[in-house]
Amino acid sequence: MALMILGLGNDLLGDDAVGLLAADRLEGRFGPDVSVGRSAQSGLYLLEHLIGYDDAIIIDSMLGDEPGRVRELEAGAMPSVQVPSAHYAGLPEVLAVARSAGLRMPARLKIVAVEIGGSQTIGSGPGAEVAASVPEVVSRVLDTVRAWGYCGPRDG
Amino acid sequence: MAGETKEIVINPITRLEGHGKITIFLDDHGDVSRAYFQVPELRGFESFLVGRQAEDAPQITSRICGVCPTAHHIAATKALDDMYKVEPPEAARKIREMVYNVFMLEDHALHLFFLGGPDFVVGPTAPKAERNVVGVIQKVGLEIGKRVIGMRKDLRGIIQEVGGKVIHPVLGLPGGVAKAVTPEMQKRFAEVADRGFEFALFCEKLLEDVVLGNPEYVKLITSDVYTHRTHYMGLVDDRNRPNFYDGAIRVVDPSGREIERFPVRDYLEHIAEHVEPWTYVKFPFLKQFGWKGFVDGPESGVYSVAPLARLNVSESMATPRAAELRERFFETLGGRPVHHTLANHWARVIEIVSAAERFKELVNDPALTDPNVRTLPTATPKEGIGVVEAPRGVLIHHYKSDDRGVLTSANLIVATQHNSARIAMSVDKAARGVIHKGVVDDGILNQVEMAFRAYDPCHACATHSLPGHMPLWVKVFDARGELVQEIRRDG
Repeated sequence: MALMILGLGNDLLGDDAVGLLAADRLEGRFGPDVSVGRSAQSGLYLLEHLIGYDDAIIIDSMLGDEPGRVRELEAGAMPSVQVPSAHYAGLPEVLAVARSAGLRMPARLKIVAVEIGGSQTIGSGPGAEVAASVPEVVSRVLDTVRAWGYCGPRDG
Repeated sequence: MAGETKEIVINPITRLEGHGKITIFLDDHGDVSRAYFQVPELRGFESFLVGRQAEDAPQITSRICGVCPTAHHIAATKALDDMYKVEPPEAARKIREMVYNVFMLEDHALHLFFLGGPDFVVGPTAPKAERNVVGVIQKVGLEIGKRVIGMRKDLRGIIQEVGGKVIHPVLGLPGGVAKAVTPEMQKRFAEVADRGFEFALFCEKLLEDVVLGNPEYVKLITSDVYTHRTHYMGLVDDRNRPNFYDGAIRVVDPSGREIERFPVRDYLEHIAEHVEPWTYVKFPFLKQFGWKGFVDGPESGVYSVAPLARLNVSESMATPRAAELRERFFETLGGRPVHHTLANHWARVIEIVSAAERFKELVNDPALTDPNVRTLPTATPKEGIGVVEAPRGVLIHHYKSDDRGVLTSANLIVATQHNSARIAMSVDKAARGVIHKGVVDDGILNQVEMAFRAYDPCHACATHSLPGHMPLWVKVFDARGELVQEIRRDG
């Protein structure tokens, strides 16, 4: 069994850093079957982080009405569209590509997303509401880690 | 009512407000008066750089784009070389160029299968549901899909190993690189380079089977709606062959004649930026002609960059196989220069071969493993300008600093900005084809997308919030500003 916990975000783009912050808090708390990764990249670049894992938890930001609200999504919950450019490949496309190519991809995939507002300021750091969501994100990730049968920090 | 216009907005819903918006103005007959395409605003990053140490610029600017951090990283690093008046040792220069070609190879391969693929491999007339990367893999076969993804993984591995296994590359330093290549690494990289070359030949064959085997494709590429007779700009070496990493900036006119050739440090003498009232984005143009509007032809200041421009500005290619392919390209499309925007996809494949060949040359160069990879800067910093060919075209970084190396100003011109006038012209032409007497055809989304997809405009830089893809949204307003029609493809 191998689990990837992948934090996504851009640390120079305000609230978008939330996935990376959560990954920082999770680093070093698991046994060898759990990896913690970070990426500021997007689109098909995410593929390389996920290939070969049995399970994955992705932490990212998403546009929402209530900044700081934490939501859990299944990968299938996001619609897939034809995209006009590699710049706009989202997770659904990435998974579709990998599966259609017959690659070993995570069988279970959960997204823990934090809602963020529409306006972003370069270099501003996350806002208070979004930063305050990090403990909840960490706790939800740990719940999933345990529920999927991996060793969480208090189990081992 | 005479003089009033309708406004149509095609607005991708990205988090960065005002980005990537297409605005179409109709005249009082309901026909297209003018269509505009708005491209990314990088001023935020530029002001963020002010007050920071110059040597942080390669890390900061690599955060601009979630797709091509390597291009910004290397452009910034070269600007620092210039700022500290320091020449990197031979090994450092070759390591940078090797990493850069690996990056170009993997980025272009992504495009062939993901971006150009849906139009060229699956086919422009195939059902829309199949015209995506899954359709491409179904068409070329599962094994090939695996091979593409495996190849990219190997190439990314090299970039990470040399560039630092962190989110953003930490390779470039003023005067060199942070890490030498050992003989053991060289041996492993050389094996990847061999596979990379085989892979490039496979990409070439795929494109030839599809394009040259089907006259309909050539007809589509050469159709008028995707044709603009502009100037072209690109980096060339001392024999006027394209080079992704370094060179002089060469500009040719619409007949292919060289009209300018200059080092990047002189770019402000040759390029100026035009401001339009409807957008905060500036449109670069050639100073010697001035801004004549969104028009093509030899008297216009409009120019373009990207793979097609790179082939158009050069006299040959630096590597043998790519040179042969280049000949075929110009023979098939009627000689140099080629003005058909959709030919960018084909030009990209020729560059895949060229990047793979150059990677092979550099990785087998004995000088690559010299442990001396840094010349320590001693000069007082003041001003530095760096340039590379990003996958989408000429990328310029220009910094000024105080005596301590603290940045006092930054100017970045990204490829999509160079192309912004020509992209606006393409969108305008496409819009005229599908909007008549106030009736907006539902096909507008695809028509307009085809027009700008070949440029791969980069206007969602630095963001990838879920779901990460770009829905399109057309809004039609009547003369009173009321919404009368909405066409939307959701994400």
